[in-house]
Amino acid sequence: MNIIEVRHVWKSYQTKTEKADVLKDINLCVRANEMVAIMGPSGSGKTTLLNLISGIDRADKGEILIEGNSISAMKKSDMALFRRKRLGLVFQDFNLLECFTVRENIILPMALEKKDRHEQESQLNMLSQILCIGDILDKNIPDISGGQKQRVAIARAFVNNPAVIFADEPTGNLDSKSTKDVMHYLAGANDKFGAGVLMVTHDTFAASYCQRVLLLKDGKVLSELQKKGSRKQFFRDILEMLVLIGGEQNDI
Amino acid sequence: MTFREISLQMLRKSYKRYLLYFYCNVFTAAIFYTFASIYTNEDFMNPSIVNPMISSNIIAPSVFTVIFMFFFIPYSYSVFFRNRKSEYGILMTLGMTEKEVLTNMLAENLLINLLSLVAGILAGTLISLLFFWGIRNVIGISGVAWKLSLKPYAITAGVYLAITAVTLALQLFGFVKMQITDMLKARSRGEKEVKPSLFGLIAGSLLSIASVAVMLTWFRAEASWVLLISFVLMMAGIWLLLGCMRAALTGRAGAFDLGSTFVRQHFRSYRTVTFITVSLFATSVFLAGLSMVTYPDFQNNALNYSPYDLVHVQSDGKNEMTLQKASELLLKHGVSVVSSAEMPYMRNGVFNLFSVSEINRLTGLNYAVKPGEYLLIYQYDLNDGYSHEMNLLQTTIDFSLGTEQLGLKYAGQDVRILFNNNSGFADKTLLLADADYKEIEKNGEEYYSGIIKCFIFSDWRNSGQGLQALQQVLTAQNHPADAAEEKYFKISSKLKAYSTAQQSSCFLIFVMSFVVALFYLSANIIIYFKIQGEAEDEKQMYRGIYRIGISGEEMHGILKHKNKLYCLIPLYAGSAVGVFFSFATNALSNSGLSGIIFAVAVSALLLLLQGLVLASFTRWEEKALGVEKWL
Ligand SMILES: Nc1ncnc2c1ncn2[C@@H]1O[C@H](COP(=O)(O)OP(=O)(O)OP(=O)(O)O)[C@@H](O)[C@H]1O
Ligand SMILES: [Mg+2]
Repeated sequence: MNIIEVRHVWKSYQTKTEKADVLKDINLCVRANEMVAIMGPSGSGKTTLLNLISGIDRADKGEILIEGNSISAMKKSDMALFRRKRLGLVFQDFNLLECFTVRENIILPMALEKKDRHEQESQLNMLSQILCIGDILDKNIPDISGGQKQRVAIARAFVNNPAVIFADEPTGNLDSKSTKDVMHYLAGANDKFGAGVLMVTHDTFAASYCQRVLLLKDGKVLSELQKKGSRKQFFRDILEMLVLIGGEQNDI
Repeated sequence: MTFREISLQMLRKSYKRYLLYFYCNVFTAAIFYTFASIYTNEDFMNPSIVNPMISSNIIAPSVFTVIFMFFFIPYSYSVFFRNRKSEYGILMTLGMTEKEVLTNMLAENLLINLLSLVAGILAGTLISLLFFWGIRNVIGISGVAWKLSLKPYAITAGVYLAITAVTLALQLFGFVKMQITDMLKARSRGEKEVKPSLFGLIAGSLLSIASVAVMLTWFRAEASWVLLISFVLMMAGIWLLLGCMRAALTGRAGAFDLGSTFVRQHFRSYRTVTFITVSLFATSVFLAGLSMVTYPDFQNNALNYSPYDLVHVQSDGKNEMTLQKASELLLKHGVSVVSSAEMPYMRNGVFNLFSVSEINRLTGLNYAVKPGEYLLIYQYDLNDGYSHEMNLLQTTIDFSLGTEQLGLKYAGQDVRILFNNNSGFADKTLLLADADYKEIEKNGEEYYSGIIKCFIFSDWRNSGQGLQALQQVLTAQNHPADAAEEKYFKISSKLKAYSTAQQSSCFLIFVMSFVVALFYLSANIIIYFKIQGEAEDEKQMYRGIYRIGISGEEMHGILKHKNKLYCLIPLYAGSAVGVFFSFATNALSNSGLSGIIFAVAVSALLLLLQGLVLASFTRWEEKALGVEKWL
């Protein structure tokens, strides 16, 4: 079953001088326990696409189905509940609440879900161990590093065991060890709980953990690559595709 | 952590932001309550305790205050709410529903608003007590006391809650229509640009010039609406000109000037804030000038309207005392009467009737009225600064004489103050030919007659004791049936009119100082809000600048330059506007240059104060940004 379906979606932004089409007739789908990576040059509309699918922005045209329901037909409150219960969001700029500590930021979605204290604690401990943030739990957000913020944002997205994870460059600020840890966890969640993952990344290594890679350029899905064989093989295939498309890898 | 804990935590952590919002609300509620309590005070509004000449001075300030409240609460709320948007945006991405957010916001606001209402009313009660203390002890109106009454509290709560409810509803409505992405960016997003245009420059200049021209051409004391039109034109002109100011903010000699750049970045709100503060400063300066000028006016009017040092009315067996006896009584209390006279008159609810020869005998004038006609006298001083209605009845007036009618024709009118004000007199005065007067006296039905008694003293300024003694004797022999009757037969004196005028002008200055202080304070609270909010938003930017390599001293210079634009520009502009209107209203109504002098003096004083304000705002900002640590 397709957990996400995007059909003929258009989005444009009005600037002072002109109206710029950012997404032009996008079509894609993610299956229930699939991991999909979106790659593409900066400014190609990846973040915009994630914002549309997660219902925090509205498309101009087209239809977006989540678990079979069209989000334009969904009530705002149902969409919010869906985000809370089923969706884990990792933002490119983290969107952590500065008035809370690291611990409180991570617990927030569980608090919204009214989970009991015991469950909150165990979930927090488990994730902070995997993401190596156990020793900064009581720090304030402005006082932690960029990579730490990213890991806190990831932990927060995962606490409610979401059925779908949207991650915007979740490894953009991480070293290779942390990247590996995060990708292992994502792959594990995908494998064990069947969570669908849609992630934006510039990192070919991270993308190679996925089963499918979509290449977005100038607001269109330019090509698609299915994983065949081992991860190493897929890594090479992605590199090859990026070269074929003509961009340097640095562009992506 | 639970949902409630989340809300509480947000409250606790953004305490500072809430506090500012809270203060603003307390401030407005307090001021509003103060005026409401004055307005609803029965003593103060009772014309027999407080002369309406005094109590009417409260009207203009209250109107200003209410208008101010209508702007200030929504303004402070929009500032507060702008800062909360991104937080709520994040919570919504985590799955907080709109309903939860709205509930939270409502609860939060209910809490803050109720708390500030209570605190505001308490503070207002204190201010109001102080105010009444001032009226009693500084101005010396002893019949007035502060009274506990439910009414001003109910009015304050009602108006305050209504304004906050509407404000909140509008903001929440805007919130529901917003996309989450926009909320997330609400704080960091730069303001929409204001494009300086040649049109704005020309139109703004033209409007300002038109405002000046309108004021200088058409303003008269009796056409005070011209002032309003001119002021609106002026403010519209200033709004357009402020829009063009952005072009001037390019820094000196093309050099990169961070302070100006910063203001340019936040220009849209800079324009709004500056516009509001210019209006507040201008009104302050204007009101201050006005109250200082009207001070001598009040006294002059009191003297002009009291040609005699003592006047009272004998009729219906009341106030019966011969001139001789009254003079003796007065002399016994140290008041020597230089001359005295009496004269019969008649009155009904509308007219006083005099026979023309009696008037000429008493006043030394020589009016002439033919039989069958009447002369209408308006007892006004046309230069008293008020407008006077003078085009009434130029028709024949019918007097009923038993079975017959006597119709008298209008023969002209004159403006002259014949007697002091006294409640024994009707509003309008007619002079009749002696024969007609006698006829009405004999057969008239609607008129009753009395005798006017007038005295001139050698020294009216020291006639207080004598007047009091006379009043006591008269009241004792009158046995007035009720307060109304007592008031009707009360003597009037130049001394009383003069001291009322003096109290009135003291009160005017007192209230105006109060309002001026209020406006000045609120203008600076708004400015502080703006500076503080932006410092918070731009902390990162300032840190970045510091890392790039700007020293603490340079930073001080930048902040000071920026804050000068916030603190001083509106005061310069406001002073100019205030001084102009003060000059125009007073010079044009023959009060000479005193208006301009007082307004300039007040501006200078405010400017001096503003220097201190600027210094402390800059110091606070440096502290908030941690600039001290860079030094
Ligand atoms: N609110 C907005 N208003 C106007 N233009 C916008 C807005 N948001 C995004 N854009 C523009 O839309 C385009 C796509 O932006 P988007 O953030 O989706 O890019 P991206 O693919 O995520 O880039 P990156 O890899 O750098 O994150 C960009 O050109 C951006 O400038
Ligand atoms: Mg992006």
